[in-house]
Amino acid sequence: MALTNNSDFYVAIQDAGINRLVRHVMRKRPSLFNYGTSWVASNTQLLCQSVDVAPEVLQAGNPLVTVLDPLPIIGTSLALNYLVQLTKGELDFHPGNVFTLPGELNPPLGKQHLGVHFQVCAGLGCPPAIGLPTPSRFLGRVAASGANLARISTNDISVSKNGGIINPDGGAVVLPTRELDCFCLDLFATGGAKITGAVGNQLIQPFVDGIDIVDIKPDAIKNMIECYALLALNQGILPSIGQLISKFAFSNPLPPNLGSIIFSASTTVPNNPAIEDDQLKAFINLDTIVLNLNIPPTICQSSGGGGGGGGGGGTVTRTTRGRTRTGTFDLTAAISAKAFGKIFGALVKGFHFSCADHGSYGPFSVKYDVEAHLEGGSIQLRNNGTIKVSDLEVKWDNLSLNLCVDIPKQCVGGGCLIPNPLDGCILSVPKICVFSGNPDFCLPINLGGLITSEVTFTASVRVFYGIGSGVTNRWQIVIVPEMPFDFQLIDIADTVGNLFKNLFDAAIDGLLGGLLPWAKDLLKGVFDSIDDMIRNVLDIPDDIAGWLMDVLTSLGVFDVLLSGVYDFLANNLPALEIDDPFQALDQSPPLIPVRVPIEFIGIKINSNEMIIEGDVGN
Amino acid sequence: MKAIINPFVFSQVNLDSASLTMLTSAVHKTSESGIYDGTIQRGSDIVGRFRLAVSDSSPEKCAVESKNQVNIDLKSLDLPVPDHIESQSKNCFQVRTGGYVVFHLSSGAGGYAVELRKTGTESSGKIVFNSRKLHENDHFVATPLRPGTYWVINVETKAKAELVVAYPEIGKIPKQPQAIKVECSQNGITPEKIKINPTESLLFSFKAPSRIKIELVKPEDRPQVEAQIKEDEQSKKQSNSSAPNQKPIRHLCINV
Repeated sequence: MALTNNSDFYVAIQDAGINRLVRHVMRKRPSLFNYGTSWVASNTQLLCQSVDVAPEVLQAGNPLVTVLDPLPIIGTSLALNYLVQLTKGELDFHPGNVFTLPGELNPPLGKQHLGVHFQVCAGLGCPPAIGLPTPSRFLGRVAASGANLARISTNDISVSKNGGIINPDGGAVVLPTRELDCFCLDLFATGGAKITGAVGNQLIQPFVDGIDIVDIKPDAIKNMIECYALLALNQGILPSIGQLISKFAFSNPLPPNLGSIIFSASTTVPNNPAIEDDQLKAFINLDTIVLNLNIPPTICQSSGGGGGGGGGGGTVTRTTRGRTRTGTFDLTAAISAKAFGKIFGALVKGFHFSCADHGSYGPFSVKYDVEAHLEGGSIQLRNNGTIKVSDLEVKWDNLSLNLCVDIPKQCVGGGCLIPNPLDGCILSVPKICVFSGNPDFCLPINLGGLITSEVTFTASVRVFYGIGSGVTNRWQIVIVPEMPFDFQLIDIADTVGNLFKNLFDAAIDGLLGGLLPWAKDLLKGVFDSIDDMIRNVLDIPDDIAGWLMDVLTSLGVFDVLLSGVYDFLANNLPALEIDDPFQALDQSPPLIPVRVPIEFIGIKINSNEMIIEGDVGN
Repeated sequence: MKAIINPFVFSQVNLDSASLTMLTSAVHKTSESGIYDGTIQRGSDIVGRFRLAVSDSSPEKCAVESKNQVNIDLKSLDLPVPDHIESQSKNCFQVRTGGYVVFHLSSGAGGYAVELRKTGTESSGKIVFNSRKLHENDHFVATPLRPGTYWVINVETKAKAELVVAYPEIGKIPKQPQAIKVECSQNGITPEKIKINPTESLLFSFKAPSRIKIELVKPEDRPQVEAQIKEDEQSKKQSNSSAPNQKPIRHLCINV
């Protein structure tokens, strides 16, 4: 069964991939997962669980902990340092196999459900001995000045070596400590996912509706913490994960210079998104495709594009890279043949071609000036992994020919006067030649709009890993046209023959300008008719339209067009590119962006769809 | 190059054996071997000279291959007087004894007459051929193109014949025109009524000294055949349009 039976697009993300993605986010944006007072933020060696941080985070000086106000001690003006850490985060799509759910959540994981597991650690900076603070427990300078226990804003305070907060006026409110008293809990939750938002701005939104914190008593405290955790998950953590998934599913896959594609969730499947097979699956339709192709016309005599694509002033060297992981792909996306046809058809419309050149055909010297674009056509995905583009109509916006010829001498009369009965001729007289030399004349003819022609070709879609020089490395999905291209002349307007004859007739009349009508008729009569004159003198057959096509073929007009189409597809059409690493969370100064390595991307094509598969790197 | 029409082909309607043009040729059948000096005249002026060798073997100073017929283009020999001597030595034509010498014009207005004089001690200065007065061994070839009715007049004998040149019609002009033979004798011109298609030639032979003039009496003009061509094409198109419009697809397979 095709993945896109019920939609134009299909996107599935495996739980293992998401978990790898979450780990990347935890390492590269730790402040999303660690919250505490400024003293804790400044003394990360005191965290309940050490944080695995990516080196670039430290290099950028990004915080590991999001700073919160100290925890006030009720009834006093005192406050305590504290810390809350989410130290482990895992998602598990049905059937559950990433972790074991606690009994309270009725394992195993239900159909169309997801499970969430977080390890939560918390720490409190209690003084070594519980009781009223004594001057001996404060820092000397603070003690000497006497404690001012008035509550003050953290904006007005500075932090002492042991976490005691010093009022600029001389007072302190936060009790100092040398370490945090920590505990860790395992939080499990179950839930599902839904699609929210209006078309054009839709999001896949995971949510949890059941939660359990293992081994915590009494129930009231457990309930409170679970309530808090539920809110934190549904309002804070899962929406972030949902945004990451949605970026894969609904974002415009085209480079900005090509336009945009608007997607919407399919409503013809029972579950969308569906949670099954360890994957979160989304079924998406192609609503509109708006292309703003700004590709310069392909000029036949230019050297064309160069392999590699890319941009930004750098260069990209294409390489191939195999998959190292096994099993289900982290990401599986499929495009139905119909949707692919729509997109490809729109891209092909960006082709504009022009060529001016000259050549010769028989006695003719020919100058031509052609402009063309492509329209229509059908696209067929095939089980051998290729794409067949058929009957792509070549619209000849201009197809001007100027055929010039030095016609041979035109002579009449002459010949044998006294034949030899045995063989040959006893007496002959030379012919009477009408022209003093080889006359020349030109026939300007524009076949634009009079020729119906089509191009059919096969292409494959290939994936390259582009190693950037001066630009980011990237995965490139490119169309690779295959030789040969098939060019079909479907029809030549009936008027072409007459058009040519009229031009030829006019040219002859011009040539014989000044002659009396009888003389013109004599010359035309000598050659029976204009048709015969064309045939006899210039070796043009009865099928003038066909002959003109032979002229165009011989001149290579169709060759250069096909070369132009090839060049457009292979070199000028921007590749679909995915940066490696892929930017999962944007920069939010001073926080650096979260980039996730894309370990592999591959393409499969069958008659139903094109499937793109990928893995997130470690 | 720019087309240049030989205007005289169409403008010289009246023809005269004593004034050769592109549409006429004079032919002399050689009978005696020897070297002959040729002079080309326009009016009373000598405008060109040449030499003719009549022999079964090539003479030393005349390296042209010996043939049964030699064509001499009078136009190409029409040179300034100072060049005549050099021209005579350079332009040496050869023909076998009993062969034909054809005097014609490739271009130009013409109006030439030609004389051949035999050289040598015994018969030096003897005129063996004069296009102004043709004899038994001579022929005159005329190709009148202008459609209409002509008088053919033998100036020497005052004999006359009627000539009709048909109007050129598509399909009626012979691909390989045959010459119509006309005999001029003291008694007249045979046949007395001649009808030819344009581009067909008249081959005159003589049993009495002759000078032939062909003079247009009544030209024939018609609307141009273009109209007829278009009419024919229109009817052809209409008949084609009733046939099923099935054009073969031209299928090119091009490796880029």
